[in-house]
Amino acid sequence: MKVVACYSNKGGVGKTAAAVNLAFASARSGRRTLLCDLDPQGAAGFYYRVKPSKKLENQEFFKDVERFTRAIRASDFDNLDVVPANMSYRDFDIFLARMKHSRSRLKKALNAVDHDYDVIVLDCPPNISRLSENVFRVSDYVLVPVIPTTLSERTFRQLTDFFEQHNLNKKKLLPFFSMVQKQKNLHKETMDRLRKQNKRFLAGVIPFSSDIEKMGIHRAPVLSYSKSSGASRAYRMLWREIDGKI
Amino acid sequence: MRSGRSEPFQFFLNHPLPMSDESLKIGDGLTLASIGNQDTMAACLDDFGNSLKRSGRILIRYQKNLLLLKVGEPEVWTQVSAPGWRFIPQMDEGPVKSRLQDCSPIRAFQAGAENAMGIKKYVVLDDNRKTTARCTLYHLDNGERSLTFGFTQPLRGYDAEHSILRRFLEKNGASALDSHANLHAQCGFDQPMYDSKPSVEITADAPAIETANHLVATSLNVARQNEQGVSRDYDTEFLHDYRVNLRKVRSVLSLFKGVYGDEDTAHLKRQFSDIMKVTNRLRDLDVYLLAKQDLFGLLPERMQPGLEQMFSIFNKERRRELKHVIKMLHSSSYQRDMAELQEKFRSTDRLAPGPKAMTASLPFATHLIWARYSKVCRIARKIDRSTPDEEIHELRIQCKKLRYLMEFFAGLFPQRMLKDLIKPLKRLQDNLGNFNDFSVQQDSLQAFLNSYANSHRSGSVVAMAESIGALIILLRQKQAEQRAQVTQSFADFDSPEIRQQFTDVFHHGTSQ
Repeated sequence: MKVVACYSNKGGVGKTAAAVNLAFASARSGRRTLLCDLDPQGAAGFYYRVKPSKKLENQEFFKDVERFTRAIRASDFDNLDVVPANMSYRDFDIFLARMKHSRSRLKKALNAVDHDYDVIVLDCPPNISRLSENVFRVSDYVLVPVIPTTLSERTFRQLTDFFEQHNLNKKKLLPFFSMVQKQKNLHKETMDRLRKQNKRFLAGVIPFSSDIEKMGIHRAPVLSYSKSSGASRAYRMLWREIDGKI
Repeated sequence: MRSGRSEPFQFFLNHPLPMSDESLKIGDGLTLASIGNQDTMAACLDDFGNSLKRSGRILIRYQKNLLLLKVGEPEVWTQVSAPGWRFIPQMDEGPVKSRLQDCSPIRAFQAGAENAMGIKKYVVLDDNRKTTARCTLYHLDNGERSLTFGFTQPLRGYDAEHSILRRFLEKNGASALDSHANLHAQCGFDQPMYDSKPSVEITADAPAIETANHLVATSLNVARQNEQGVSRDYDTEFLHDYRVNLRKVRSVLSLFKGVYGDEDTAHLKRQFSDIMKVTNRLRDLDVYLLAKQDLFGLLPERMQPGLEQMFSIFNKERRRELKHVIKMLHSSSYQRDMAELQEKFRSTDRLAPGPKAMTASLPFATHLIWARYSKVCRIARKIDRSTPDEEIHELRIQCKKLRYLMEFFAGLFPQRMLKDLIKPLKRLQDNLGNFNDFSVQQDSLQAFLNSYANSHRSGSVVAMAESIGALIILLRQKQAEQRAQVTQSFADFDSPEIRQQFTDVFHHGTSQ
């Protein structure tokens, strides 16, 4: 089981769209995938039309594996389940750590509900908090969407500094360019410069696309309703690259 | 993905769902919506022995898709497999294949009649139009009969919605799939069940000739059921079963001494031996070809080309031999002879009785079995390391005869007791059978090499001789290993308890 976090300390950069579509691409490639919506705005769940269960909303169900697994909902797509947001994720890091570090215990717990996942995708809230720090520790990779503008460049540097200060493994960071407008010179120049400074930028680039914006209307990943669009191709390519690493 | 709690629901449906539109409200904000129809042709698959039907399973093929269900189990399995497969090992990997691993890998699967099949897929949507459960209906129609069955698919985290769907289906006539005989017939697969070992009912005081007739008639009948499969070359088991049953007939004729008149016995023996002779080579070749993988596994890669060539020669020869066999099976003389033979054993007055004809079956049976058992023991107890191989072969033949006798008369003795006696006998026979197989394989490889050497240039003979020579050495080792085990296998069979049982039942007749 690999944990891939989708994270940005700045909002509106295409983070949730990436989490939603990459989880979909992972499931399509045959990996049993769980998408966890940790962002209290609940956008990832919204795109998959998954309502959080009313009964579960007020419970601390990260307390143990069994409660957590009860919150899991099937998506409309094979191999893909979703944990919707609007929940207390106070203990999520504890849960995640347990999932990662005592795999045999986890296996037992999950066997009880006849389940296991190959990939867990986390859609993280856009801030740096204790939760995000713990997510960084337990994740195998942290995907960071970066719009190629000066402001985003600065935010990304803040994140790498945070990793250094907290002794986190910077190799986990996998930045990629998001909402890219090829016709803008500024985007091109920023991308060239950043790629030179940081070799870890993924080759896959997500374009600015009205197809992605329409996700809110379709309430589905762009990969499901506009398979052959440029945006879909870009997500597929990006997932293949990530998949090659995990 | 599957839910941890809700189980899928498999059902029959007597009439269509009451849906005039594409969607229907079924409860609390939930809608049942049609998401697709497909009309196709479908056939039910099984092997000749009806392995699936016997175990309550149904395998349906439509286009490249396979659908497997087991009556009484909620799960339904589907997978895609490229067309052209006939044996389980040839099937593409998938959940259906992995659930058919108990079927024989050398029995061909055949399709029953093609049916028109309609597949309807539904989803249960909530007020966000989120899918919360799925349901698939299959409607089969062969012109005379039709049948609808289906299954639901619960989704994780949506148990309540699945329950509502299930209640809706039940309210509309869905009943759990729990009897499968009908379903097979409805799928156009209602051919009579083939049984390779039908139980033969015999009575203790019936005259021996009546019992013998009964046994022969049954075996002849089973043998003949395999003729078509042999001719069409579906798989090698048809010929195998055909020969096993003719061998049983010959065993009755030779073991039931004095039941038929001498002249009739000799004539019948010759007739059956002539029929079987035509099939001998074909069966030998089948056995070699089935062992192909094993033999390749014995040799290092550089020696394998010689084997490859040998097997391609065997394949060619097999095609010729099969033609001979088919020619015989289709000949009017064979058809006439077989029909006459069947008739002879069906009636009681067509064959001249011998001096033992009217002996009651039970004393006749105990006498034969006791005598044969004593003979087996006599030979086996003398075996030591210096005993020639011929004696081991003789022991194999005597064990085989003993086994046949015990099985012929099985109906006269308590089943449990017979099973306990046959089990160690079977292990001994397996051991002796392997010993014999390795020996026969060496001889036939040598014979093949000799004839190859006579008809080919020396260059290719050297490579072939190297491969085959290596194989013969390996087979000799394996034969020796088997031989070394014979004493132990016999000792297991020759336990004091088993000796006592044989004496009680077949010598003193005390168990009756």
